[in-house]
Amino acid sequence: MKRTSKQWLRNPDMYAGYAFIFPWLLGLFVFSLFPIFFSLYLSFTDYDILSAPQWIGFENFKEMFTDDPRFVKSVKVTLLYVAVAVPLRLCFALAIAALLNMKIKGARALRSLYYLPTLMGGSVAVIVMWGQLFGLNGAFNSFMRSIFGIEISISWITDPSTALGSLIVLSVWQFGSAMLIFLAGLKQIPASLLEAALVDGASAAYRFRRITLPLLSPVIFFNLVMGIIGGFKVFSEGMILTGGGPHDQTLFYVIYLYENSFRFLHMGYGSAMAWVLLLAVSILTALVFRSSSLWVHYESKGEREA
Amino acid sequence: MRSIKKRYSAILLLLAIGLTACGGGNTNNASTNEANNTPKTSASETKEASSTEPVTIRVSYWAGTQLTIDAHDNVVKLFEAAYPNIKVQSEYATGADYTDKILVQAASKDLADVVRVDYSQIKNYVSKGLLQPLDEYVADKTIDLEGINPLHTDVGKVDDKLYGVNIGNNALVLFYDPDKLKEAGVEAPAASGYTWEQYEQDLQTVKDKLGIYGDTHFGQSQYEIWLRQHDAKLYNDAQDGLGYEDDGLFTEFFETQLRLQKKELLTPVAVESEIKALEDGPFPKGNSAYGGWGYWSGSHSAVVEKQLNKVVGFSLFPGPGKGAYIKPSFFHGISSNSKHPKEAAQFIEFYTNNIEAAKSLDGYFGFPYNPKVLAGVESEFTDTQKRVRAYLDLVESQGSPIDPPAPAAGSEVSTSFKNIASEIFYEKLTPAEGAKRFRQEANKALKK
Repeated sequence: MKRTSKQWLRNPDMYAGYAFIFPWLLGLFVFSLFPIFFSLYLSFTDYDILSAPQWIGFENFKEMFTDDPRFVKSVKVTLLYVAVAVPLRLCFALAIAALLNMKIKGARALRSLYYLPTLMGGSVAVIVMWGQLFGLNGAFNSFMRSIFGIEISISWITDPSTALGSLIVLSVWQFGSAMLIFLAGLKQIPASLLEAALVDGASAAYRFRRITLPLLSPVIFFNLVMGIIGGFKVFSEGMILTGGGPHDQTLFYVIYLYENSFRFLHMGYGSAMAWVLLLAVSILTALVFRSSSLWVHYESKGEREA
Repeated sequence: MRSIKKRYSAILLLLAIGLTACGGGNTNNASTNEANNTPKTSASETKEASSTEPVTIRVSYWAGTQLTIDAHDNVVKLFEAAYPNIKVQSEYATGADYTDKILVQAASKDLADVVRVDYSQIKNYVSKGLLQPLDEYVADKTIDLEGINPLHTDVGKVDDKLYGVNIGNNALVLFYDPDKLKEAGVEAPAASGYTWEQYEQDLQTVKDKLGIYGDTHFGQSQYEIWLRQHDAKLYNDAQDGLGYEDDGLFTEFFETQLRLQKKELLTPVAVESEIKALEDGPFPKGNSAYGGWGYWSGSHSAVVEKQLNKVVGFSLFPGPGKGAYIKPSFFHGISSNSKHPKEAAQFIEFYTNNIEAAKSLDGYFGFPYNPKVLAGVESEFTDTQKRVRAYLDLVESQGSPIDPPAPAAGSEVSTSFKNIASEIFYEKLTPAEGAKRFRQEANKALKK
């Protein structure tokens, strides 16, 4: 039964389907697709939000790559953040997941407990709390003073040498969702394989490296991709805690984008930055996908070639 | 059969919902369009409607502390009691977020009817058509500016039209703690002239005698005063570059700050970096003898005195008095998309000229300048306000007129200044290098 387009139009089921998803479609077109393509147009303009955009061709992009030291700085800061925070968080999440996967009493309660920071991590309140913890008179410095008698007179959040580090730690601390996915992945690994290796006398480290890791690699791959994409979009932590400062040490890409768009009123430039970010993240993700054939192990091999 | 019927009615229902949603959207559009046209045509129409019909106006204002919110809300309550048909919806934001918010609202043609505009922004907003001229409301006395020295109101004019009504007069002030100075045996800064050398010496004495910090680091607003003391300005007249040629000014300003920092006369940058709100500052906390952190005579004096629970001293910044200036604390403007400009004007009138409102405000948003209002509230001035008044008189007698409002690129220049100052204070950059970089970055932003 082949359908022509006319039959497609006559089919009432189709109308019903579209009617049901109509609100969503409306949202997609009005709030997603339209702004996305409008921002593509804006990226070729000089637009100050309040007056009509002026077409300037590739000027924004040219300035970005040739004449904007703060842009370069923001790229460096963001790359450093992603390069350190994402792998660290994955390792941390995997380690905790492996621990929780062991048959210990209260593992369920612990699991919820460890997931808690992630539930709250995105919220402004926790970011503010982070500021309290690692501020000049924060809990951490007080702790060091009262327990070890070490007097620390820097604010970890606002000192130029530690600001980025404290934001990375905040990101690593929010390992919960990656941990949950790892945990689900670990539960999928057949116990028989591990038992067989155990019988053969393989050590725990060896079993982890040769059985768990390869079988878990699709999950690692997924978490890595999500982590990279999320990492490049980091905004609220920096915006609330440091505002990009001190002197641009935590000027994440998106913070600079925001500054340009809403504070300096270079919305065209901000849009151009957004598209550069999109392209960069797409290329990076594509590279990770490419590399996956080298290290990601799928059980059903033959069909993988992509 | 039945199920098909059911299905169709479900579809119809959904379509109906969808259409209503669309319909809603359309009405909104229509009303914003209407609002855009309002300023030109509607003043006469709204005049008749204003007295009886219930109207809600939105008011947006800047607030950094609960005291500000309370001070504002009290006036709103008085206003609503006086004009029972007008309801006021207030919205506020803090710090730089306020400007961000205004711009986002402006972009979506959703500005509040009454907008509180800072001096630095008014030209920018007017050039973008966000505000409507208020001259007709002044002419028909909805906003009564009669008997006021034009000096106080002309600051709200752009191209000879009035766009903002000055809420009250304000001036930057160097606070000092008289008790601490006395304890250290330091003379209070002389009104007749306080030199930088004396300031530095006094900070040193305070530290030696009391073991506390003298002051906080100075930033952009103090730098602008410093430039004015040297007959220079931050921006040139065309506002496409810096207004001074000699980078030595920048270098000397920061070398002084750096020297004070190295002698540990200023609070450490680590402490200052955590100042989020007015109350967090070392001075309001009682940790320093001088408070030169860019405080304003208006609201800040009340907040500081309340928190310290003592009388504080008001001084001009060190250096020649001509650096000082009087600035309107904020303007009230009416957005061009306002549907109720008449009521908005009534609100502004009440805020500016009503005696009860002025009593309730007690100079919180800057000092009243209308002689009638002054006469009405004078007897009830708190001691704080009496000191503010004396200080403003001092500024008026020694200072010079305020510089023109910053250009649109001003926020970029400020960001650059802040970053460079931070690098200098963390000793990653020398003042001389900073001066060069600031010139380069500022000029680039201003030329755009």
